[in-house]
Amino acid sequence: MLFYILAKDNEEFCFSPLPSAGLILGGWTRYLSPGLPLGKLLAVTAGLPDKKPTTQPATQPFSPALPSAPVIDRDFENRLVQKLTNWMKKENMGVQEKVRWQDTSREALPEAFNIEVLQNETMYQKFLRIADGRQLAENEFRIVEKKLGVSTKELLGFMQKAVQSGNAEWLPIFEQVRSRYFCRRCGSSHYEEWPSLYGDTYTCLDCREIGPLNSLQILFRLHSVDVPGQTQVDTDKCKPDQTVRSYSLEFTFAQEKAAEELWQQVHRQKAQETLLWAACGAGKTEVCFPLIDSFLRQNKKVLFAAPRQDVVHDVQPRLQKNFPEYNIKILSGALPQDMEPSKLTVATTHQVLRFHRAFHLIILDETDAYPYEGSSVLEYGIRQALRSDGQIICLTATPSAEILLRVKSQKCAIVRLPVRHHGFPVPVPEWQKNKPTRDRSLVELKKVLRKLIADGPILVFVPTVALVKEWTGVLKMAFGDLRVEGSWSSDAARREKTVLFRQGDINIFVCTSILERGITIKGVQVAVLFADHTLYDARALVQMAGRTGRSAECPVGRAVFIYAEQTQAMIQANRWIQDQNRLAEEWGCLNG
Amino acid sequence: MVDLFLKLKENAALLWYEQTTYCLLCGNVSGEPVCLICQQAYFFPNLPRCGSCGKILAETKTRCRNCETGKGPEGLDKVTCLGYYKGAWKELVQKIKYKGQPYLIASLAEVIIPWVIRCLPPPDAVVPVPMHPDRLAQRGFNQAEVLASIISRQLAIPYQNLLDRMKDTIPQTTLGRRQRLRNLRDAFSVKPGYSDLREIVWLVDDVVTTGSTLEECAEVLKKNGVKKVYAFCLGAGKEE
Repeated sequence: MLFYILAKDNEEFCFSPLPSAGLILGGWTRYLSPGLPLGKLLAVTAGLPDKKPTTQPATQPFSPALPSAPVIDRDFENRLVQKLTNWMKKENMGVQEKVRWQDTSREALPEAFNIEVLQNETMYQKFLRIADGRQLAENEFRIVEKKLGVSTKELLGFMQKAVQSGNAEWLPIFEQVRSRYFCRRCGSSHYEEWPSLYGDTYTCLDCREIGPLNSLQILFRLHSVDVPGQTQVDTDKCKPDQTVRSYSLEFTFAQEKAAEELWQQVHRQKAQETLLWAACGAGKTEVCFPLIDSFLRQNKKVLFAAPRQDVVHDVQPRLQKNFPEYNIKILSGALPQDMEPSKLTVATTHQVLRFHRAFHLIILDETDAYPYEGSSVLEYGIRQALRSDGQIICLTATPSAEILLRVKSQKCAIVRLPVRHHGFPVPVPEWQKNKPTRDRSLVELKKVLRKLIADGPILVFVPTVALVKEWTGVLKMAFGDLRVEGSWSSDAARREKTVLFRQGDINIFVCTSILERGITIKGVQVAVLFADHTLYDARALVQMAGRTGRSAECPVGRAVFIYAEQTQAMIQANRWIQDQNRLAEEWGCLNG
Repeated sequence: MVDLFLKLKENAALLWYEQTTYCLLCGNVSGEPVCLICQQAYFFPNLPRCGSCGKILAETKTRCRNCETGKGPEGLDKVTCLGYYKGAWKELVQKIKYKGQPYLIASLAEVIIPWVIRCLPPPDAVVPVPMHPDRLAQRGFNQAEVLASIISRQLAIPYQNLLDRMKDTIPQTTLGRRQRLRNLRDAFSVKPGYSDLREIVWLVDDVVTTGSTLEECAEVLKKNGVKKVYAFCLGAGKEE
């Protein structure tokens, strides 16, 4: 998008994508053509001699956020023309148009520009509600246009109006820090450089999943504001036990204790970050309901984020059932982008990059799962979407070493929920030394699986896609009387096969880590082949073992690790589960 | 300094490990920019192209139905396209064009160059289809120029950006043949200063749909002394 420098008669300057913005917003009588990308305009104006001596504090004459600049020399305009011309020549830009000041006249208004629309205050307020807390990239403008029923130029008019009033800002996509460039949307410095009409240009490579951005484009950020007239509830006066809401699930003693503790950490201790470390299948999402309720009652915005789409699609109906009066939005790559404003949003971590200082509370589920774990971009996105006074709750059954370190150094509070909702302990994995091969050891493996199948369908985890294909074939041969299927992340029939397994139509399901998390299947038993594989760390093993015994109807089950050489990860996984069960026993809330 | 260190680290790693490359279309590991499966699915290397409009044809044909009945473009000596403008190939071309990733064309050079050499006679110059200055200012690049410059550099054939687009025309796909030609009338001209044009040129564009744009450019080139105009595009339709 091209930007223009606009000037007032009183020698103020600002940037605008509409050269004729002066006709709507008043006062801006001239603009400098040709238009250039905002990043380039900022670069050329950054080094300009500031201003004539003035009593005003020394501020930059140009700012995309604060257009009302201090008084500048009249002949500054001519110097600016000269500077821009020289700079364009130096940068070897392909722009042919001569740099000159032009008067903003009514004729400059294109036909698509309806001034009455821009003067419509109701429409402008609707725009503010839609864009509240968002950072809109150029490729998202048309969604807002459609939602408002306005043209691109009318939308730009609203945006410029918000910028002029100090509620919003235009920002070039890349920010230069010393010799490196960082994408403002995802914080990454991983980009591809290419020559454009305007000289060196960069395309961010980490934003590609939600639409790549380049340095010729801009971000429009509308700062989140508390809408006046809405009542604020005092947190001290609404305790969790005073919640009138009845939830779809009755809290156990352990869940009630964890919910109360979480409440204390967030509302009393004002912890910025809290880790809810729960056993697999403990009902950690539900434990957050009273907290979500308290934020919503205070008219604050809440985000429930998870790294995986299936978790997001699974959680939204549960939240909607418990918060029926709110329109809970899902943002995920599988759905068209939704711009409807919402107090409670459920999103995948990639979608969070679309927000800026928007949420008072972010609940981040499965913090240690791919692709969130180890992704500095997604972590940046979460921090960026959080308001400066916002709070984060991290939910996981298997916290990473980093977060445990933050807990140790008291940068992060911790709440434990060591027991499952039905009160039975998490099954401790059994170890079976038997290197799975197609020969004699298969006899042993068959024995183990036959025993497991007597208790319910079996989830067989293997470390790689190639092994899924191989072992699906081997097990099909070995168990001719049973239905054996296999699936992996890029398998086209993955969803259908998972549904069949859930329905009980598949007896043995061989898979990679795709079903490691967020799945509850009644009566399922677990076998981990190659449990000693380097790809399996302790957390992956705990999650896999945690698939068994999750439902109240079948609270017990078996998980078997089949291995050749004992590994540290296997030892740690067993220790982790045993410690959790011990803590549950200490709390006095174990049934089994 | 940090960049330099990272580059050094990357290059040092290359001494020990082979760098994994992925197919630009399906994302699977591949030794080439487009894997063999995707090449078969989108490029149809064994099928002929319509000599007039570049469309991919059935095995025995040399002209598509449209061009056989005189509805196709005229004035071009031969047209060829690399792939079928559909699915992942269309997505990739659109990424290049609309999502600010023109650098991806450079990665495709390995598949573009053998195809263009195989299909078209050698030229004296490579000429891109121009873009209107207003659109060029908004997008920041002309994908046809990028493509033409890569072909020119790889084959050491002179690159000549010698056409101007005078009119910002409406998209051709929305119009009928007659309207298309009217839409493009006087849309192109030879840039001032270019008087003695080369005899044989390759005209390069990203996508050919109706061929009217190529036809109009060829007409202007031929009026100004070019003897033969061959055209190359990344994507075109396929006759079923």
